[in-house]
Amino acid sequence: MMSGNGMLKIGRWFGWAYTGYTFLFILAPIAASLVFSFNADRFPSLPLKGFTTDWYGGTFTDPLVIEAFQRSVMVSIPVALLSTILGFCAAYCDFRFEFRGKSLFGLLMLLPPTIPAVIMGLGMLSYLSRINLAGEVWAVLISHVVIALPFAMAMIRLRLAQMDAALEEASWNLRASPAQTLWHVVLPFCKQSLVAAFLITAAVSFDEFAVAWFVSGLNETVPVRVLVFLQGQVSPVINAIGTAVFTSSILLVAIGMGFSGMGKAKRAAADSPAQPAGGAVTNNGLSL
Amino acid sequence: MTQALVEIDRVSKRFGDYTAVTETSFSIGQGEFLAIMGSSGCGKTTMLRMLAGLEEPSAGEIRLEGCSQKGLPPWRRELPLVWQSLALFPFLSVLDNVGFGLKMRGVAKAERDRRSLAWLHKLELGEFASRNVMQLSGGQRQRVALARALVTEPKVLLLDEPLSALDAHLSVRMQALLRSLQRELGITFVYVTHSQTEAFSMADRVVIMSRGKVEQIGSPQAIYRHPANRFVAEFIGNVTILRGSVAEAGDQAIRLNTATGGMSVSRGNFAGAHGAQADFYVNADQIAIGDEPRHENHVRARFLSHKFIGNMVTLFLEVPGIDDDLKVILPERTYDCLGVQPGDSVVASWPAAAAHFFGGTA
Repeated sequence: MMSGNGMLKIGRWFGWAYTGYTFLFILAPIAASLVFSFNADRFPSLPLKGFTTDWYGGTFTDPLVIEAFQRSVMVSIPVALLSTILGFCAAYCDFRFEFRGKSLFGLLMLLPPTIPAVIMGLGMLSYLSRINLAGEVWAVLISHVVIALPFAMAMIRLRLAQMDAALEEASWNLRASPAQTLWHVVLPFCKQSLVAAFLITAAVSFDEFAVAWFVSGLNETVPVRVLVFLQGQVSPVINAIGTAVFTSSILLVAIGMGFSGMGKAKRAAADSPAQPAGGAVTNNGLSL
Repeated sequence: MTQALVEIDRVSKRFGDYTAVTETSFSIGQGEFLAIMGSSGCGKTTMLRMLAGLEEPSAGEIRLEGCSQKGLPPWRRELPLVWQSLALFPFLSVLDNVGFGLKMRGVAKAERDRRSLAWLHKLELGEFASRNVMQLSGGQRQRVALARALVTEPKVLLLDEPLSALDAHLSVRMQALLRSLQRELGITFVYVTHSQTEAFSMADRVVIMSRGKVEQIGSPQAIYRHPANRFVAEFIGNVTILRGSVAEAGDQAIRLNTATGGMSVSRGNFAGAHGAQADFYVNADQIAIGDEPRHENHVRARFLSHKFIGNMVTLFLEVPGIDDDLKVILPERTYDCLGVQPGDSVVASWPAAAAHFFGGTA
């Protein structure tokens, strides 16, 4: 007969093992890509042949790759900016006002991530080509705002949910007009979630492949460029690009998490128990 | 009372089918400390929110210094409010929280900081000026909220149960602070609370509300001694309500027949005819306990239980023929000298002057 304590220990051990296995499953391919990006052999096979940075050197002197990187950056920053601004507006409307069809509005706002990327890409392509934007950088930008906006809205809405409703009233009571209240009270209150939303939507845009593949035409972003490479040849250059993209995305997300309060969960837990929730739900949002 | 500063004129407020405040009128004098008291849902907070402009009355009008406040949004009014939740801005320092109202009035930074700091010093918070409000204790935050509302030197300050989150000890200290601040500044305070202790210890006048209506307005003493009706008497809880029929009307007192025998009640302006049924109340702290009757009204009763509140003791007596317990309030010392135990039979007696009809002395 096993004691309750022993059962608990086994349960905990199983929990750790399961979590470890999950992370291994997710991270192993990325780690492999990282390892092979420094491998001297041009085929990804064991045993490793020796250390080299040639693939990085080769990649970042390739004008097509450089151009794709520049384009990705040029798209992701305006996408992040627009998504954050529009996301804030949508979140604030949802927070502040009661109106007809409010639940429908909320549903529509959060719809894009639930649509399969291929369907979204096809839809975007057929629509954008009708208004003569398909194949332009604008097409990628517009599509990415559609995809990234719900993430921004969800993060900012969560932050607003933590705001004492009396805070806005207190501001009005101290003779701040609604516009002044928005500027001096609501925006400062949401500041961290705004920065977090900016970084995470930038990462969403930087990583997005399927829709960009449909609408970008000759204006390839990095993920699209990677696919083009893959179709031509199996080259360790892919590993180098992959590692670079992964690193930049994970950095954006990590910094974003920090701003959303998840990194400071310990201190925040003492201040207000609601604080870490923002970060946690953001996490769910990303795995959509 | 001096001239009216705030006039509430037949104000009603409805939220859909629900009526929060019904045709309420009263006025608030210059420099007065007015407490609005009632249990939750009585309309007291709605009344305060209408004063601040956060709710618009469905009917009637609120006037400040004779000027109608109708349609005036909160950001155009000069009626700062201290929130129950305090509603301090968590992203601002203590100093900037206090200076917020001045900033919105376009006061330059140097002047703003000087005036805010002066208030912080006045409330013994000077050393915390650069701290974040989240780093302060409950009592300190309370004073920051007070400074933020007072820094613009308003004529009226509205307070919505500001002490409900504090522990008893701190609450008593804050009551003293509020009272002395109000005296010193000569500002009108409108203080909403559900606590009888807070209202009665600080206010010049108390408004008792129930179900959106005013039940009684008066000084704490007047309400305590002469509740206007059964609701107020039960709410304050310091009297026992009895019922009888008029047997004989004298100049000073009226003789009634009750379930426990004949009783004399102060006449006041009572106008009931012979045989009419009437409610009257007996003040708990004017009843004597002993083995023999000491006053003209007396009943034999059984001592049931007692409870201590400060240095006073409330005794609950069972009297044959009446439903409620007879309440008697005695100083602790007197109670000790009596030496009665629960279960003992005692005689409770009181003079006609301790018994009154409702509304008889308004």
